[in-house]
Amino acid sequence: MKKKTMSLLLAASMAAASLAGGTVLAEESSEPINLTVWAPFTGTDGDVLREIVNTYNETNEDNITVQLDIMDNATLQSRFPSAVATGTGPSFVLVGIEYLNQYAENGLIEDISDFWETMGVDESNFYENVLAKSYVGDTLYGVPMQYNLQYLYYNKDIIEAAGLDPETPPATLDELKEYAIACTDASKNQYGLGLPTDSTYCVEYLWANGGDVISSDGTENLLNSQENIDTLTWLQDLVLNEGVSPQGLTAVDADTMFQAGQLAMYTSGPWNINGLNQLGINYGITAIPAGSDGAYSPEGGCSYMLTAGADDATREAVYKFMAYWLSDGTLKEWSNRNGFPVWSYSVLEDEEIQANEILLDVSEASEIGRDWHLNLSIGSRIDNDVVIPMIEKVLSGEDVAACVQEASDILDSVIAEQ
Amino acid sequence: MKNESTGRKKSSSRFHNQKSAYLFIAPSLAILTVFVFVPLFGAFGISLMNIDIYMNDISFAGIKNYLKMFGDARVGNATFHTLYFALLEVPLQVLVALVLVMFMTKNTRFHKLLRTTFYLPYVCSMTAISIMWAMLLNANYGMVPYLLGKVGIQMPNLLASVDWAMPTVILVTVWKGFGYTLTVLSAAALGVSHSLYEAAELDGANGFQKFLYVTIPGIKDTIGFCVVTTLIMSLQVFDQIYVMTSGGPQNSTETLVGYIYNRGFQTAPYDLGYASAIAVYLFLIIALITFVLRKYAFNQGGGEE
Repeated sequence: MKKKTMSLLLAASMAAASLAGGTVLAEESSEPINLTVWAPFTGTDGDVLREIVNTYNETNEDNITVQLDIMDNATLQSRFPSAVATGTGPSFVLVGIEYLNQYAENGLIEDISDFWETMGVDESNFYENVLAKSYVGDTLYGVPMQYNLQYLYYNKDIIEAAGLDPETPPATLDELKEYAIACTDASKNQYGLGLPTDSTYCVEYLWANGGDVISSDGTENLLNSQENIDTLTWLQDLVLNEGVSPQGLTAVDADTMFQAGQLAMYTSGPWNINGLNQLGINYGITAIPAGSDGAYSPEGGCSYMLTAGADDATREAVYKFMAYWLSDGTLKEWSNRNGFPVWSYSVLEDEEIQANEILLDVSEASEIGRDWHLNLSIGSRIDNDVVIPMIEKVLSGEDVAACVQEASDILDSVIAEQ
Repeated sequence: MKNESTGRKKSSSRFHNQKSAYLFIAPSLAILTVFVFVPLFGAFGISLMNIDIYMNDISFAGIKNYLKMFGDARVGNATFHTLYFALLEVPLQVLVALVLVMFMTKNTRFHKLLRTTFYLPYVCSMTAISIMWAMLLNANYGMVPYLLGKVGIQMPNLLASVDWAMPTVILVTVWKGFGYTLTVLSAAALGVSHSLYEAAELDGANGFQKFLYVTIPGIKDTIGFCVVTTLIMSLQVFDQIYVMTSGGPQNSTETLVGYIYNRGFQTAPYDLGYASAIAVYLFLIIALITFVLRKYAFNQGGGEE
């Protein structure tokens, strides 16, 4: 009888154990969720992003697999709206914050205001100005992935060879000109300062001397001012008379020339840091130099955005990945390896971050951010139809006042059409 | 009655024959309908709408997009550059191919090798070729300016120059495409009867005269085919310009297809209606030029009547 009772007890306990085990097993093998994300990270930072995503796929306990699809930004922007309309879009996108407003306005992305509460992520741990870029009014549409400005890159070897102190980079526009002239040596095909004709970096110089292009609400044309004409004349003189920059330089050329040691200084975002480190270039990074009005640099960044029409399971899984990105370990790895400024208070205190010289320089140079039509639907028209054609003509030697007048007239029509 | 019955039989037999013919062309017709006719009429329909890439707030615009187009200086600029490209690229490509055909009228192993070599760039991707040439010609780190600099020749920054950018793109396009034209013309030239060459020889014609008075008239229709197809392609030029110059500097290489892409997909407010209006305008230009060329220049399309 005793034996029978024991065997019954054993059988019961085994059954209970197997049931309990079955429950655990069922939890572990929850339904697999496959997510897709589109991102325009075609540079070396894309390799780091892919590694982080792969690590997430291997380590997450929620059976989530994120498939990263990297494509150039023009392709992504032309494909995404039609993909959403036909229900063939990705689960979420990682794009520049300048697109957030128009995506939200046109119903391409979801309201994710419940993200902080649902995931238990402390919103106050992050810089307010960075988070603000992902809000439209009080509604959250994105989770920031990175924040950046434009910075002045300088090649320490060239500056030293020109008889200047490589540890004291130019802090004013006058010093920038002095350094650029000193570092230019046409016989060696070496230039002091890269001034491309196909990007909108010139706003940094316009702002520095008190000029501007358009009011932040997009209603007032501020282009045709004496400050702007003077600054553009100064840039034209640097290229045509002082020869500090190759004529007809493109932004891609400037990257290549800086990597090849043919360019002493140029302005760019932090996405080049990883590549420069890999090439072993002896370089430094500092803030955009100040003009008569101060120093300013256009803000930029990227956010993760949930594609419109996501079901609850997809939303939950994307939230989990977004929360993973905001964890200290991930943000730290991203900043450490790519040089993007830190925007999380807890990561900022990290010893390894504090010991990273380039990163500290970048973080220090990131305090002069200024909004460059991030929330305006006509942003790309201001770039493509107004600013780029204007700087192209100015740097090719056309009359500055006439170029500014022409650009201003186009800007008037762009404002009127919106 | 008898006649009627015979007629009905003939008509039924003709219908039977035609039915088979229709069945044969049905697959091609289906593909053409889906990928040519529907997009063509679709583009015309969209050009009459206020519609952007987000497909929100769609409304009827009438001919507003067409009126806007005629007041847009960049459409005029793009039309000029499209015609500039086509009128220089097509004759140059056909001429280079014709000159080479003159030296390759025989089917020897050496001529075959030359034809294969010239054909190679044609099978490569236009994007890859454009990237390669843009790098080779780059004034700051390109191989060509570097080597020329070594022998004391300073080359201008071709792709950054308002005057040189378009001719450079045209030359790269000719370099890529002449192999195809050469192959087609060579095939036609090999088909010209030998008796004609022998007769010309008896009349004392030299090599050039034989080419001019025997080969060229013999392959006239093929030259017409090459001109028309190359022209249609060159009026739709996009890839090489997008990769090599992005339409710059100062819009000096911006063509109609480039501008359509810019308005529809690159620059806010991503106006698909306006972009489609320009596409319809380009279609009409191509249709008109092709019709005139086929009808008058090469006497095709019913010219025998």
